[in-house]
Amino acid sequence: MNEVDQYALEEALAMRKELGGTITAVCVGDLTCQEVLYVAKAKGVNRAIRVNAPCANEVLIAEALAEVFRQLKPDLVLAGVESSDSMTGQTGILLAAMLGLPFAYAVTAIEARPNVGWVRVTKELGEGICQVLEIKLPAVLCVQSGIQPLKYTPPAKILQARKELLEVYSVPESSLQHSVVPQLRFTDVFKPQGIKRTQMLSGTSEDIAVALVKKIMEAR
Amino acid sequence: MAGQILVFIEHYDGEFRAITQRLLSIGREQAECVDARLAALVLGHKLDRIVGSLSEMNLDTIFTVDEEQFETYNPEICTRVVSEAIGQISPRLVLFGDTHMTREIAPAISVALNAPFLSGCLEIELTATKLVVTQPKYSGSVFVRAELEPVPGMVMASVQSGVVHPQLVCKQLPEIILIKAGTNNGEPRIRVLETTAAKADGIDIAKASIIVAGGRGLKAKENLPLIRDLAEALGGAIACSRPLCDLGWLPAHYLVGMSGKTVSPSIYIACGISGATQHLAGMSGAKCVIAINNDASAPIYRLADYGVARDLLEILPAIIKEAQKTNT
Ligand SMILES: Cc1cc2nc3c(=O)[nH]c(=O)nc-3n(C[C@H](O)[C@H](O)[C@H](O)COP(=O)(O)OP(=O)(O)OC[C@H]3O[C@@H](n4cnc5c(N)ncnc54)[C@H](O)[C@@H]3O)c2cc1C
Repeated sequence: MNEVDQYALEEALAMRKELGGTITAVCVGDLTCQEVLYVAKAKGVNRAIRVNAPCANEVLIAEALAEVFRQLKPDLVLAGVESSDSMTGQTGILLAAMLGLPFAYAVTAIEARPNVGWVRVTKELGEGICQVLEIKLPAVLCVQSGIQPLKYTPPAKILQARKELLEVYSVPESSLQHSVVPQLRFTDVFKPQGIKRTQMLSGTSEDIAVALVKKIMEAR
Repeated sequence: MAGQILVFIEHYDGEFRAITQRLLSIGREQAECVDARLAALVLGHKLDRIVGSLSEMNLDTIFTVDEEQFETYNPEICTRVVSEAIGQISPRLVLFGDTHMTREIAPAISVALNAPFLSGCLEIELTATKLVVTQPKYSGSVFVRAELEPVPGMVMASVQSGVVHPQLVCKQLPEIILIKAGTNNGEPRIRVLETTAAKADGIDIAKASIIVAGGRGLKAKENLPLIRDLAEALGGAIACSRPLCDLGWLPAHYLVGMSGKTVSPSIYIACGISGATQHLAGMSGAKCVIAINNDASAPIYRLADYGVARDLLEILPAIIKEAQKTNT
């Protein structure tokens, strides 16, 4: 499971502990993404749904999620800030915009009280700046790492979860609006070039230490 | 192509965000490539100083939305007003910095304007017929080049920090156009209670000339003395990557990167840090970078002058010993 999504899930579990309610884990993709849902099950979510839909880019994923969430009508949607593979960091906010819901990004604390209809959210604005907001529910919050300590999931629980049946929602390509899908054509995948020429130091630990401290003394 | 390239300007407390220079220089370069005009859009209140500085940055036009309600940033209001303003200006390309604020509002603006948003670009190249971007994937371990062809009526892109191009020489004074924000009839769904900058307990790592930074490769909190001792022996300060703050090993004011401090010391020693783009954003200005990371293919080596591809638990004690010896 994507690292920041683990934090989002951990926060959901903490909120349920305090406030009750149910947690549904949702993932868009083919059969290969089910493993992630089994982990979510093992961690204790009430429902796990795989959305069978095209997931070539963040806009399609958000559209598929929006379709499903119109039916599920959650009070609160928690997403991670970005996926570590595609790194676009857009899915949560796109989803909020498509559903017409208020949103916040890089959330590091959520305070909710029963039957209030608003949550208090602390979020980062970068460069050490933080903001505290109140947001009306339903809302989409993109959770930043560190919001809760991550808990270990025993493999036995995951094995157990694999025996359970997952719910599957299908969103056919034809029902997606393809609103702002960038028709991007990938022309090249490459290993990033070095910006500087790196001199690698080798030898025994002592050799390296002597050489490195010499370089440090020269550079300072 | 003609038309306009628009740069969205972010500022906090009367200062531009760190990415501004880079954005404007990329904007000017691209504007010249396609014979477009370069404009900036800035939202806020009492913008005289910001607009004054922008006027010296070789822009053709500055669009301002200057109203009291924009004194503090509110994502809901900002999304609406910036969408409306961009809609009115109707540029071919809108450039944002890859900042928290952009990540919060730009995807929603792209939905509102029905314009594709290419996020986190490292490079961007606009021609008459296509837009070519380079983006990092898989935590920055690979880059992809992607093309958008044909270029739709309006495209948005965010640019990561990186090489800062030469100072922009001012060739002309820009035209300044005030845009009035439309009124919103709907009930507000976001109330901003406070916006604050993190306070440091006396230590400002941005002032240190030698920084020894630790990352997840340190493995356990018990190993923090390795970076502390090295920093002390060299007369420097310690800093860290995000996981160490997330784990509660160090408070937030030690954090280097997009979420935390931007530092440019003489020497930056990265111990067990992979070099995610968000971390590099805060330290790429360091003069001499030393990376200690047992994965010789870690992205941090792209920026390193010297590298030690060894287990830090084994090598750092030797370096500390040597540094102590040299300094006494
Ligand atoms: C919106 C946003 C903002 C962010 N802001 C920041 C920010 O401000 N600052 C920041 O740092 N991150 C930030 N991040 C997180 C960033 O994406 C990375 O997850 C983070 O920088 C990784 O930290 P790391 O390099 O310590 O950990 P990892 O990526 O896990 O790297 C650990 C490294 O240690 C090496 N290692 C392991 N064991 C050893 C050993 N024994 N000896 C030597 N080397 C070893 C490994 O090879 C690896 O390269 C942000 C992310 C997002 C989405």
